[in-house]
Amino acid sequence: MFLQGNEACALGAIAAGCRFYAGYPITPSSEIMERMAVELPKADGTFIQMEDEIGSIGAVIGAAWTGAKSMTATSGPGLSLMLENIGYGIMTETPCVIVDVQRAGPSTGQATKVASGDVMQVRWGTHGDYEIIAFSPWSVQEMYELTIKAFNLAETYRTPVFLLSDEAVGHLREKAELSKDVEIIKRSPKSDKPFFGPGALMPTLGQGKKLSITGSTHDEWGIRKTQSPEIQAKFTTHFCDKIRLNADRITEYEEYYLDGQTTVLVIAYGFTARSALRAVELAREKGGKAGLLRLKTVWPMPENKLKSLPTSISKIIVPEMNQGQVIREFR
Amino acid sequence: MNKRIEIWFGGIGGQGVVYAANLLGQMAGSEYKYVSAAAHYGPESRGSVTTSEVVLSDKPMDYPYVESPNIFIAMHQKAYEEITHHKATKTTKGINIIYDSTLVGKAADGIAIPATKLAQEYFKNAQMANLILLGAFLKTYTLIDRQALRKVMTESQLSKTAREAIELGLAQ
Repeated sequence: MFLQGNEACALGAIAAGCRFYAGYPITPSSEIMERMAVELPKADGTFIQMEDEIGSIGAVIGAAWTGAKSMTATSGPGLSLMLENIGYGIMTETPCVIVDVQRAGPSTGQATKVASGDVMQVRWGTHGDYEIIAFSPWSVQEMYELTIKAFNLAETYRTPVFLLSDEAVGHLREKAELSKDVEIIKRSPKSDKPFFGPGALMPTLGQGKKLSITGSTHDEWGIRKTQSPEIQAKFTTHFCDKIRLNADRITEYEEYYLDGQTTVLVIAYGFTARSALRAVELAREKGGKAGLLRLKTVWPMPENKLKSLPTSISKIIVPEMNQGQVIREFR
Repeated sequence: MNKRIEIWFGGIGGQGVVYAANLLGQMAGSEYKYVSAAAHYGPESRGSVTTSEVVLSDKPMDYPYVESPNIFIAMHQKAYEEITHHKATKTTKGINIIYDSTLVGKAADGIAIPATKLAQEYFKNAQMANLILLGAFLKTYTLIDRQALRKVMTESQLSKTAREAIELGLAQ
């Protein structure tokens, strides 16, 4: 199948079981929305164009609590508007997927031009204490596959998950194999377990439970505990630990020419990793001992992998389509 | 065989530059293991220089953009000038050019196809020029088997007029 990255993302969402999309169109992400508008009615799902990005993420979080797997897609300017509610999604442990097809910023910047300026925005953009999961696809194939994974991790860890794409991958057209036989994580049926915290299962409105869902600090039953330092500590630790302690399960990366002979290592993510691989191969043609570590997840970082890099490496290059953001993780 | 063919489309917004490139990518899908198409354009709905790059390859392509273009399909003078002054074009020898001679006036070397003029004559619609030029390109550079090409044309959701425009190009 010859299709565009953004279209592959929409089809991946449908394959992963997404049945609710709310969004506001913005270049270079709009094709995701357009395709979801076509596909969701066919899959008995719901599509809605909201008044803006704040409304979009609000609807996505709300839909998740009705039992639907839900998604939105945007670009940097829209993501800036969504960040407050993304914090609400983290605090309420709401599984959902947010696609950011990055373009050049700050502000409205260059709508049709590629950049990787939002890497730190997805990591730290909303306030408070938390960890985040963000995938970084480099091909049309991965726009499909990693969207599915994003949905699965959102369910597993009960948190908003980012697909951090960019204009180059979102608008690229390539051949891709879109397997229908995909592993998806279904939401658990009604349970008597607590609603929040370690081991809690995502409840659904309308199952006969009295659900209290709040962005304020709350206990495992959702009851506001805005004065308790113990509950505050317990839950922020939980938001971080559920990702930190599972980082080796979550993180994905690929190695090219990375062994005990490698002297120059390039660490790259997203579309840049394709140019980086080309550069590494050109260097090797000339006898350079270059290698590439390609991050499929930018958050969390594969810390254990980074700690065990070969000692032969004397130089690390981190090319990015920004003025230097992820490189600070390695300094 | 390690084959990589790079085709560069250049025109202005509104001519269907991206559409023609995407259609070529779709047509090439059955014959080439790896096919990519990438477009570059501005936020304007019409008039800014728009380019699209199609790469056909037998091995996985890490870099899906033009490095050493083999063929340049020039659809407008503005894009012709921009691409012929591009570093990738200047450092490449033997680049083949096919151009819309109605809108590109100064192409010294290349195959001239009066695509926009033909579109106006046959379809009373200058917007069909992209497909006429695509057809002429497919005829000149036999990168895609004619049968496979017709199969894609039949299976895809091309309008009757669009198919006729490609056929008109193939007859040039």
